[in-house]
Amino acid sequence: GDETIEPAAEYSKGAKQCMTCHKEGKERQAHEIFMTPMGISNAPDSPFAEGAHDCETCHGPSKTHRKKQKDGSRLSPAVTFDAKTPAETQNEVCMACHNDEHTMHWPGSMHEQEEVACASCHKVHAPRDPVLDKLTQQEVCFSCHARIRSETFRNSSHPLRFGEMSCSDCHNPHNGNNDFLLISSTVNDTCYTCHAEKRGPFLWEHAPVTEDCTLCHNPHGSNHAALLKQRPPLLCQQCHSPGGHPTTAFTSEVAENSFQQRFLLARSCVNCHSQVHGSNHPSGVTITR
Amino acid sequence: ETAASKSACKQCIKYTGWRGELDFGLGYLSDDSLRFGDYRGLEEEGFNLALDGDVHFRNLDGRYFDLYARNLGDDNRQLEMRGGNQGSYQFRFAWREIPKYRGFGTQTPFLGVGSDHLTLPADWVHASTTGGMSALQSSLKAAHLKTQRETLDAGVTLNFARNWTYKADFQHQEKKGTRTLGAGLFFNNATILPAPVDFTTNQFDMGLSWAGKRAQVQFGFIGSYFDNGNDSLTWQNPFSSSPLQQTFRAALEPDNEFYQFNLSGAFAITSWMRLSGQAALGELSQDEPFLPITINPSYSDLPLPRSSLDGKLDTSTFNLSGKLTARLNNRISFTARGKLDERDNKTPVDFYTQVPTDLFPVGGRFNRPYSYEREQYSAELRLRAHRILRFSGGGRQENLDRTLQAVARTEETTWWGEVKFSPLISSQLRFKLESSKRDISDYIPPDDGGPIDHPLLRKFHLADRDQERVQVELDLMPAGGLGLNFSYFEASADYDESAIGLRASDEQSYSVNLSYAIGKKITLYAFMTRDEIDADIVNATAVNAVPWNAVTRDRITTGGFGLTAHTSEKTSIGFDFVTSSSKGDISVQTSLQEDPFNPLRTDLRNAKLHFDYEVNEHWAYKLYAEYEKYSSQDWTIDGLGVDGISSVLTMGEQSPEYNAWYLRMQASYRF
Repeated sequence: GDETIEPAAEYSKGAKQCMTCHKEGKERQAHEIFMTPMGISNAPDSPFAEGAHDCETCHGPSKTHRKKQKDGSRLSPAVTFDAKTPAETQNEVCMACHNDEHTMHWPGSMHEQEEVACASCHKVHAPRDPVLDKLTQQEVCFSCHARIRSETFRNSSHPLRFGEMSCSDCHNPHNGNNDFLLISSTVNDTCYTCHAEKRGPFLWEHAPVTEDCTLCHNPHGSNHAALLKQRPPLLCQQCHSPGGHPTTAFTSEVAENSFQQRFLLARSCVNCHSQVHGSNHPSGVTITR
Repeated sequence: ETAASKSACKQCIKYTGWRGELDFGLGYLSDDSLRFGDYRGLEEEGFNLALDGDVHFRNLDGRYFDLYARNLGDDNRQLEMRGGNQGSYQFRFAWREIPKYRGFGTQTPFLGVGSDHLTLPADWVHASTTGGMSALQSSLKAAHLKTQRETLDAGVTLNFARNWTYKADFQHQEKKGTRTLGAGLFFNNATILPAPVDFTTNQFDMGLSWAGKRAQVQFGFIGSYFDNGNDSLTWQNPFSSSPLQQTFRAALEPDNEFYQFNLSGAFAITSWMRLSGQAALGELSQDEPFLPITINPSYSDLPLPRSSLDGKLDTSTFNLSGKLTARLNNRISFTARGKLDERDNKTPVDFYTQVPTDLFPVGGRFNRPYSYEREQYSAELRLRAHRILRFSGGGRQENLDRTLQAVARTEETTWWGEVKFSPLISSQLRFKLESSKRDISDYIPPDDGGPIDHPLLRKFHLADRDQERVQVELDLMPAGGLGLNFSYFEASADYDESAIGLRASDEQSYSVNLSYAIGKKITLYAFMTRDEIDADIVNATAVNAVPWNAVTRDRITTGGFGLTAHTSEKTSIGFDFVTSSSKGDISVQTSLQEDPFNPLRTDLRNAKLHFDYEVNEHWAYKLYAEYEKYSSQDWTIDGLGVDGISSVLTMGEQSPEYNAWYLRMQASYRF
């Protein structure tokens, strides 16, 4: 078919011109960019550095955006960081500069494959990008990962809802190689960044603990204490069946039985076997010491 | 022309220099509540200082400085600062505290809470049951189980040459306070103790990286050193005054060291083919001197095979991923990944005589240092069949080899497929299905001298498993500013080969989310999620006994709504409300009866309101109010007190229940 050759796009006269309409106080203000590292014109990698095209470094040559159409509307800038521009196109703009050790595993990563745009999470014009603020980051993540939001309100949870932890304490959204986009290569190494006391190696190891913390714990939140997936004794009885008290059917009648209630009530199995993450006591094989 | 325009762009230079906001005022909490104070640091009724702020500096030469301070008057204070010269160097510093409460209504008769030596009062009356401890009530003292985590971060990044970056970070973390520790005495008695927490972790993280247009590489080192200020906890036995049963001792977490060298890189071979990978080699070691085999003086001469564990394990991780994007008529991308993780435990194996409850020897056991090696391979294909239709699918294989466990190797194969249908730019339907099957090698329980499990037991992580996962999401934007999301998720697992153990689990989640932006000034949102988590467990008291089974059903409903509105040039208001209720049903069924427990329940209602009023360019007022109502029921602890179990002296923990509101008023100075 016929191909229409479009004229080469032209740049306008830089930020001064853009700020005529987008300065502070205007309806579509964009001046906040100058409060961010991106807006420091003397930084050589800034979009506003000598030789760059200011706002159009990211938004593309947008001279046509200056002119009002007959109906009073304006054509959009060449690149907008919303649904009008494909995520891949948006991301090419960002990756042209942010192509470093933080983002080297982004291509091919889960979020990139899902066509998540950088601007879906990052607000580059904001003086403090909400996704880089511990207090507000989780709301950005929850806008897609809604199920996790509800888990943070469960009876036991990490302190995400209080802004004392953020998703990025455990997950690296730019990483493509670790399971669940974790910051470390394994689940346990991620947990050990805050819980180093549990990494051992202990004299008496509890095998599943060394393998994967999430076998027993749900890190986002649980209906049971200590983020446990099940409540002891049933949690333990899934794996231990040697006869005797570990295999007793602890019914509600047991709760009334003064001899057996020690196996069920209070901390249940952990009343005695408290060193569930491992024991370094020479006599600690039953993880009671 | 660009440079000339910049020098004349007043907006571009307007925000240089110092600016910031300092908030200061008072807050008031209506009621004492440890649970409300959990993580917030506000647990006592009364006033607290409300100090927050941020300070910024920008200069045209690229120098900058940012400081953020939150809750400086509370136990959850945070301070974060960074500065430097954009593109040249950055220094950063952060201070963070997190308070955590670990029990509500807890009491103990022990003296020396917080230390590693717990003693009983001089007038303590020993008895074989808690009911007979006649001095118990008069000896009880409140024991708040609180830990305070303090983290200091300091770091620097240097862009010392074109494409080269060096970064070094140091983290010092302390966690101090008190937690509970169960301490058993053979089959007879147990005591819940207030155990000390005095953990310190120092971590160094350094990296040198080079970033070019087509390739990036980073070499790094991590060193992490954990120190426990208490190597053991000693306590007096409240049940017996017999000289040989008077004092017991448990080991606490030993000091350990971890270091790791890592290499990470990516290379764009062509514009449509890319490789990236990571490799990490490290060692985790622990050599804390052992305690004696027992504190019991009758067996003080029992020999230890070594004075410390000399525990060492090598960790190694290698992963490689490659992405290939083919531009045909339709866009196709193909990604393949491979990963190898190894935990090679080189801890020496020795025979240790056991005096497990400090009472008498019961033989001995060899220690069992576990190793494993995990291989993962995956490949996925993504096809943009049409502007509105995308398909993707892939497979994953995970093989896990273990030592010293019942199963030497598990192999799990997963297949998944996904369809995304986007008939309009404002809508998308996503359907994803995943199916996996795990096969095990022979299940041969190890002969380690320990108790022998039921021959039909299959531990759930070592068992054959069929698992299905379904995810459906519908995103709609039916009108400008209005967004709707419906999602459904289910993960179900069957362990059909496990006659004893976990037999089945199922988790379902339904969510509805709504967001509505009315112009640029008002944003509304609402959400509702329902989670249903089920598990079926079977066990038996003996090989020939009729098995019993347990069914657990957790039901959690969480919902909320809120708004943010800039009501005028000078005022803004925000409101958030969340409700979350959970019910946990546990039923244990034997051949004789079906026996449900009372439901476990939690109910949370939380409402927050904030209102900001700008008086003039420099001054503003901020009002924040929060109300929280919480109640819970837990039959495992409620009503027991410290002596509710005749053979266990507990700390009397109770399910928390409170109504609390918090009001904070601040004046804000802006410059």
